[in-house]
Amino acid sequence: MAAPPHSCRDASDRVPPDAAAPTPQDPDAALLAAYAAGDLQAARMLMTRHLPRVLSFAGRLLGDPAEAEDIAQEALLRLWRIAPDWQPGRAQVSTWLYRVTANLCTDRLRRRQGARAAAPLEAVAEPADPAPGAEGRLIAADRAAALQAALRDLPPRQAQAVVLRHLEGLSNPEIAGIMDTGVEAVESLIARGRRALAAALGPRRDALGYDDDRP
Amino acid sequence: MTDPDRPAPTDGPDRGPPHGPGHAPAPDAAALARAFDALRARTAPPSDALMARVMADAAAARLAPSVDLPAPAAPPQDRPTPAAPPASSTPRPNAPPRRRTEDRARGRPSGGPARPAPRWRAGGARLAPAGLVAALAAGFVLGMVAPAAVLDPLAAVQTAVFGPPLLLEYADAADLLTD
Repeated sequence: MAAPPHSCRDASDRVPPDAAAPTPQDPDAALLAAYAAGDLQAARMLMTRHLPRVLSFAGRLLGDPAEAEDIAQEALLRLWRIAPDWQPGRAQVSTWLYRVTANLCTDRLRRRQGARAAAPLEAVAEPADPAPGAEGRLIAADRAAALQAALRDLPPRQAQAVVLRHLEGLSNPEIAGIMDTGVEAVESLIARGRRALAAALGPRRDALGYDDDRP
Repeated sequence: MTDPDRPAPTDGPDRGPPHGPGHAPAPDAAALARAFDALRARTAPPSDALMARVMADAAAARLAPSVDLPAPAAPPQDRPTPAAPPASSTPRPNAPPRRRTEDRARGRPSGGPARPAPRWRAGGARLAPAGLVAALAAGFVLGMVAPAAVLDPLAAVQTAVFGPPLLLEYADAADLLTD
């Protein structure tokens, strides 16, 4: 068993178990209580439900699959540790996990900042293609890589808001709960992030085949 | 001055910034949405190794929930018993709140104009300036006037004006006036 990474404990340690808006019903809370009582199968169900989201969220913020796995493992580990103290009805497990993951990624990005200069686009890890071989997906792969690189250059708060909204499909109030801010601030972060992404992808418009999509 | 024929610049949430000559136009909202779709479709599922690590963490945390900060069953024996805090740092049970606390409770900053002016608390201390001035004056007089002047002021004046008295009594005045 690999040792859990304990390198990012700064901002995420401030996340209390009741960090998000109160929710009357959370199906994950019962699973978490069962795990706290000793049911390891409940932990497996929680992992099945949340690990893919946490992993993809961390991967999109960090742009590095290996680092994303470390962050996802650390976020779940903190969920296991906080299970005995979890207060049902005061927070959603998914919201709490997103928030811990965001904070862990922010810490990781801060540590990474300055350690290495901005890498060129070619150095960004290309997202894995679950169905390789299709020739027509080359453009989609380029678009995904370009967008991933542009997301990496966004300020962390803007990147979190954009990823949660447009890639994770969360609503603005949910994002506000995760980011501990207001809905208007979330809308502003998303708008600014979209403008920055559009400006970053503009010079590659022809290469990414956007003009070919026009009718 | 604005050109009426030029369209007003738009900077809405879903529009890209206006681009100048030499810059490629920014992709519109639909193009950005397609980029999001492409990235969303390329999400890799968690690997088996990662899931195994997560479940191992869950098993370890369940078996040893206090692995982070284990509470010692007894204090360490090789360390001396910590001494009691100094008495000055321990508030008395009936001690009044400190002035800063009072100021904060009244809603005004400590050290503001409402703070009472300092005053002498001991009555004898009021005489201290007068005593100091008297001592300085006495020392000045005694230092500047010779003791002889105190006993015989006229002789002191004569000495200051005419010189030492022995010279006047025994010297020849003619010798003093000629070489």
